[in-house]
Amino acid sequence: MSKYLYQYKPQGATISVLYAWFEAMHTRIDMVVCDLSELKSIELCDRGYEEIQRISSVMNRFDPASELYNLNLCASKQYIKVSDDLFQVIKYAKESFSKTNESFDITVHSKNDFTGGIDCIEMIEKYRSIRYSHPDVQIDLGGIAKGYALDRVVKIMLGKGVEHFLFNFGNSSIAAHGNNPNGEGWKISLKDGGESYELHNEFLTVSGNNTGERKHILNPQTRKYVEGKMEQAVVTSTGIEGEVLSTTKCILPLR
Amino acid sequence: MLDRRSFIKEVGLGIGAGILATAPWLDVFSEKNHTNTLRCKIAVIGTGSRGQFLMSLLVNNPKVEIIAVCDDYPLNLKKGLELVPGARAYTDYRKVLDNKDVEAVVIATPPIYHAGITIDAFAVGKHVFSEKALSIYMDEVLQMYNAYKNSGKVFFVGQQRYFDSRYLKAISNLQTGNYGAIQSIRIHWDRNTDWRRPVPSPELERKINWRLYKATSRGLMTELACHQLQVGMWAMKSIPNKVMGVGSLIARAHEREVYDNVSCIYSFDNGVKMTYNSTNSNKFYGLEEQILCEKATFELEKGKYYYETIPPAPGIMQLLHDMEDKTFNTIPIAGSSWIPETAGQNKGEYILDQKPDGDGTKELLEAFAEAVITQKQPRNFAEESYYGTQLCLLGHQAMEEERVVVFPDKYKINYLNHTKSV
Repeated sequence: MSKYLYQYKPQGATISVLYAWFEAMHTRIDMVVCDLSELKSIELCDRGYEEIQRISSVMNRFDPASELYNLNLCASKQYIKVSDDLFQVIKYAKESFSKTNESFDITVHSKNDFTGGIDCIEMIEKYRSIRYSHPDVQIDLGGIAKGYALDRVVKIMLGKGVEHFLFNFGNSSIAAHGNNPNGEGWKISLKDGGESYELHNEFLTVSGNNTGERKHILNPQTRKYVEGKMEQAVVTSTGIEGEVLSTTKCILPLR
Repeated sequence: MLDRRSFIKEVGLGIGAGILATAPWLDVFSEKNHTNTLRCKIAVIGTGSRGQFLMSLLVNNPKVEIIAVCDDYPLNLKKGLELVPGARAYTDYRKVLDNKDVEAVVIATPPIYHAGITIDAFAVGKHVFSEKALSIYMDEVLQMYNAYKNSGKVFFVGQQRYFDSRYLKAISNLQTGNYGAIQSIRIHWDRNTDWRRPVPSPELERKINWRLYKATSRGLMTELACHQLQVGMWAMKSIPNKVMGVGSLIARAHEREVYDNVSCIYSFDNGVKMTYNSTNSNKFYGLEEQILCEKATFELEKGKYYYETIPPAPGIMQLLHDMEDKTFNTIPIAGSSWIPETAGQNKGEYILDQKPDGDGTKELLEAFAEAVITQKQPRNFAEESYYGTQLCLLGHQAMEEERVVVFPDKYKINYLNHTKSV
């Protein structure tokens, strides 16, 4: 992971604006913070950076040092006590499975093409502990962690009294709060000339394949990847909800 | 003709204290609108190829009148007069200095004559523009600077990169700190040329091909390095205090005395090194000044910079430009996840949106005319130029003596890290 990279203050802007970007969660994170002193903006972007790194270190299933890696390794043998972040995200994802007509499944990448993994996740809220009842179950939070991280960073900003900001996590998870310095809300469109959205304290999430060759969304029912160039966008009130719904919109038409 | 505000805007630089902190000499344009009806009377001394090029720019400046040209080589004098038919012709520069109508001189002779003409010109109250390198001797460079300081007149040097919009923008960006501290500076200029000019008769060989001989030239250091080493000093806001180097004649020993191959390492106080490599027998890599920062690498000649890790999002950069223009447009940024693997090769970003027309020489000469008319020396320009030449000559000394040379105290003027304590 690369470090916090850059501060950009546009010249001639009527209010203070700071742009910071860096690589985290295997993508580029863009943070545009308005109407704060430069020092305060940098401090808050640093705080956001630290929070994203922290969540990434919890939810990256490929990182042997992460909590999720350990859970996938050990949870089929015993209950594992996990952090509140990890417990809440898995709980949310488990609930989403039924709400999305079994389209959003964080166990879709289980070993040996095992299906039905979501029902094998046993959770005890009182002890914040999780166990897998089948040895092939593996959890992948790649389709939801960015949304959760976005929610966390937004919460930090609002808690610090920041009103106007735009956060872009890899182009696919966007939080827009308050106003663009030159208008009300924030106007965002798809890169390829698609639909435009006016966001007012909302989240825009996009899932899909930006090229005909790329395929990475696995349909849990058919065990086939969503193919072809297509993108599905949703506007929601939280980032995590956007992740679930945009992925579901990619899968449901194929069912 | 532009005033300072327009000039700064034209070259894509932000208006305000930032650019003047990077290039205080741009203040020379501050009264440009007030001088629109005024003209300065200039004499050009040395009307060879460089002098003719400068004249081709000066004749198009409505604030300049070239009233005299001077060269002791008849062919050059003839070409100079062709550019300014009404000018008075001289073969002795001292006669030019006697001409009371001449307010300023532009000196484009071989460098061994710069000091004498400059010192004499200041002594009789003329403003001076001297081509680089100021001299081939460090003593003379100091004498020129002291003559300027004692005269109260304007002193410009042909270091056009100080007025080149690519360099102004890049150095301004560098000094914001947004790209992290400078880690290393690598400079090169490679050409495959013998520098030889045709000689009508043998006794003119050393007069015409002065670049090739040690008595009249420091070769690659005074011809090329002089333009580039100052860029490193400008970016660092510091003067390197040590240099080591080696020079050699590899391909052209049969036809010249000065090195055709030089390598120097300059060392700044904070440990940053500036390397200089130049050759006259291979042109493949051309010229470049590479400034390696913690977060990005700049290639100033190419006009590009490259982020060390990931580049900024184009959509967000568009948003920021919209903010500068105070417009509220849609940001075309949303899409399926950006992942580093899809970012492709690091092709860098352009320092300026469009390639500038010139190399800063036109703006440099405009600035000189402004300074002559207003009789105000722009801040720091003489000092930057002073060290531009001294650093070349210090590198040459290191190569000649094959040792690490420390910048001598006697050549330090009161500037940057050479500031003298009171």
